[in-house]
Amino acid sequence: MSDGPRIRFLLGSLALQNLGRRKARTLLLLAAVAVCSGAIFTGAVLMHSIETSMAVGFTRLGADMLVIPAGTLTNITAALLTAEPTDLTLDASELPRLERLKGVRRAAPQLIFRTDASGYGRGGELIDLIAFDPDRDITVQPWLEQHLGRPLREGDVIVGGRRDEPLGTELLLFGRPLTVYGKLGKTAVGTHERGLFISFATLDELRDVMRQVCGMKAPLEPNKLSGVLLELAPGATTQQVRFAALANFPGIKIVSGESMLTSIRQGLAALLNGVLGLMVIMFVSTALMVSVLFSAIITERRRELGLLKAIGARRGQIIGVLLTEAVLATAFGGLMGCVLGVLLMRVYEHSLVYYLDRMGIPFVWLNTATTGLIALACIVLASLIGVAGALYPAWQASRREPYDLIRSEG
Amino acid sequence: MLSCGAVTKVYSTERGDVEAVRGIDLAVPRGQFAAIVGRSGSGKSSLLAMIGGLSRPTRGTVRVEETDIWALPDRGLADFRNRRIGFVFQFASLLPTLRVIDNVALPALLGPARDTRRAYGEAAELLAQFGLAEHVDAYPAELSAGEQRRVVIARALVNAPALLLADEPTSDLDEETEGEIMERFRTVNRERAMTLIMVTHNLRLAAQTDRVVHIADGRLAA
Repeated sequence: MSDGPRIRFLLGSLALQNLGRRKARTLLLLAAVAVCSGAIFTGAVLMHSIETSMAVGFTRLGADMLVIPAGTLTNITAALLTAEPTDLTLDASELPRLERLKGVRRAAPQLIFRTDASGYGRGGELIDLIAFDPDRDITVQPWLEQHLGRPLREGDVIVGGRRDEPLGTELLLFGRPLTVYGKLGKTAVGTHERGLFISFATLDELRDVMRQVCGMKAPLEPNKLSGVLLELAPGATTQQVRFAALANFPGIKIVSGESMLTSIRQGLAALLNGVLGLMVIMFVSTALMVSVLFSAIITERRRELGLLKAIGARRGQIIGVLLTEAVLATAFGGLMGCVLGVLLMRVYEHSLVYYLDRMGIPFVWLNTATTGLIALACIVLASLIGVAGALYPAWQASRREPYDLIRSEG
Repeated sequence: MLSCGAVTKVYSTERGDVEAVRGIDLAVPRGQFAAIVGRSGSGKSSLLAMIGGLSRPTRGTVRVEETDIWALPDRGLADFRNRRIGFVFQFASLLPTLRVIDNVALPALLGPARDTRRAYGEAAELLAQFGLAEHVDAYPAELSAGEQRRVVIARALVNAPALLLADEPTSDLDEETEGEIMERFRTVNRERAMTLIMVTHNLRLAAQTDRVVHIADGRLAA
């Protein structure tokens, strides 16, 4: 038969008041559970935030491989975003064949032209003008932080993250006005951050005047590319595509970023597994601590439990009183831990975001709903710690005879 | 009403087994007020615990109102204790964090579902009978030792048990309060025709009961 509401209330208040009777011990229990659940809450929120940030970062990093003319020197980090500005070029007619290689999902051509004669900036500023194909692009548009509320079109220019031109203003390049369509976020790659990005169609418009100003240079010839950024199909490996490309296209060089990304991913996974392992250890050790504490609490209250049994309390009711007490304490400890975790993250928010930003990773905090769910899960977990810790001592106490409990009181 | 058949209690200790009660046969008819007397360690409290369903006999049987209480399952025994047996212990046995009225109503609420309003009504009535009407909302610590003991007796009676067991119920009380408590027991025994068994080492108190059972070294003494 189930207990009535009044007896549940009385047994519940017994549990609550027992916590109040030993304030110092209760506070220590709350503090221990708060530290455990606070660490789990903070760890879980940060892990999810870092995972999300890295996922966003890796997605925006763009290409898996870069195809460039043999002999071109490359910076591996920059190579995954843009080709290097050199006079060496690839023929654009190779693009469809590259795109058809097994394992290639997308091939994004780029042409990069470094010049100090564009008339842009103050006193012959050296700029990187990067032409890309908006339909195939994988490394420019994902970094767009601000842009006009319309698609990119001919005559538009996108400025790098370190440029200050407001959107919609005109920018003179080789004497031709271009509209600032958008601005990229900071990538920590110099070429990308200081570059000016235009479509191949816009480049075609500028090509004649560029030749007049800069002279006939290889990159300014029609149908020339500085490099092709490749995105691999799911399941394809860089080795597979590398061998296929080198076999079919003599005079090219392949740059792959996979090893770098893989090592970052593997490092992150190891770190997250380590954090998860620490959380499990904290959970188990706190549950053991609660168990030891409740064994002591039960020893101290044997007479009260014996009395309850003597006047008719059933085993389930004895277990219920003790578990209620444990759950009340540990759930409140869990709540305190979450509050502490939020405060701690507020304190370290600026430095954490700053360091990740310096690494070129845009830190993305979890949304409030998900954070709330994690907090709720931590409170439930803390309550489970209480149940796990108190269950065995409570079960043991419930099995003992009332007279044994009453007379063994010290 | 109550019959014990060859009840024996052996405690296992680090220094070997100790036989506290050695095959006692005892019958107490309905409505009798009996005292079990003996020196400390004679086995009288162990016998009372076995009679009350608090401690399982090593051997022997205990029947209360024809029920072999130690043949009942754990839950059945808990319910039997709750409904048919009242206890008055030697120690201050009120729960300090509950009000007086809650302490008295607690046995009525713990057992098989009963109406809360009725349980509290009976608890209030008993407290009034015991001269504690103005203390229903007080906490045990706010009462004197004698008042606390009266609350304990009220709690023991709230389920109208057939058997009331008292283990040294006045050992920590002054002579006047002791007399008052004994008078309560006699009144309950007389007015409710309730069977009452009291363990005491005080022969003067035992003399006030209907029957005195002597125990020595775990056996009934002549």
